[in-house]
Amino acid sequence: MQELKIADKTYTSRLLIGTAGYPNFHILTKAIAASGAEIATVSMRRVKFTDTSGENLFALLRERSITILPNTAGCFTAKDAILTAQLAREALETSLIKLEVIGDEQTLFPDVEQLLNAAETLVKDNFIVLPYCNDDPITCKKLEDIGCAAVMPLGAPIGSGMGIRNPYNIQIIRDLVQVPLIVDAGVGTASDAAIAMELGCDGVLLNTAVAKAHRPVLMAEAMKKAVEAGRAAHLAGRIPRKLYATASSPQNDIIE
Amino acid sequence: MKIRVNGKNKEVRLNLNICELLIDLELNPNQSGIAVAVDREVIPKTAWKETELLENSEIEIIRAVQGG
Repeated sequence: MQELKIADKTYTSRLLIGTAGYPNFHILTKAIAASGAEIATVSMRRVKFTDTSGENLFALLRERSITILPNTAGCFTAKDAILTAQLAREALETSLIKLEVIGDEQTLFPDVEQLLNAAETLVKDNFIVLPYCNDDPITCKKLEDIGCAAVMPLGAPIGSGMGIRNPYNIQIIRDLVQVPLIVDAGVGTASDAAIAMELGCDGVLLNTAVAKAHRPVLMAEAMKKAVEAGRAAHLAGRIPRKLYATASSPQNDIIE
Repeated sequence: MKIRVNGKNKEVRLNLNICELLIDLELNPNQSGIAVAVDREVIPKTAWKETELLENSEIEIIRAVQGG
């Protein structure tokens, strides 16, 4: 099976995992391992001068050869997202950036205008931009044209676990863009990840579905299998849907 | 002189550079994984020693945390 290629790097796993919201660092570490993910997201925040936990996420991911994908979560303007990306590049020695420019606190939907502006500036500044965006084919196409290394439409609002709410748009986006298509946000359980992959996505990025599962490590493993199964099903080609039955057993030589 | 570090006021001596500020804050300037911006401009690690802070400078010191 072909590997996932982002910019110049290839990845065997098509599952990208978030690192937020796990019960503790130990479970986070085990969940990442169980997911098989080779890319993990982090956020950039102010250093706390009172932090004595000794937990160093950057060191943990680096020791395990996980590609670190910093995000610009929490940014509501292109200006803040750009500065956050620049700080992340300096701190983490990576040009990768998961670009988020949020438009509204309740839905966490992207602000498309600010997102496109930020993407343009960051691409010009030699970032490898992976934008979290709406499941809108036109926005995805524009992001590709700007030079983003992938497009990452939401399946549903962040943390909602609502699954792929508009599979038809994801299908249209698949037809429209050549860069990797990664569903980012909305996955609630393994079947959602499988559906994304069956629709032809190149990968799935998820966090809450694993972190907040009753057993995060087991869910991480389930997600790994779902992404692999969905990818295989996509390549195998599903049968068309029909309203009525077609017998699969022979219809002749039946006893009378 | 007065500066702001991560949104909080701080009194420091004149001509303090970024390296010295980090040590003041009990942060190891040689540790990996942190970045500094002064007045919304990222200052590369290699320039920390020679970058002196000015009165009212706004400094952001950031690192990676768990995120989605």
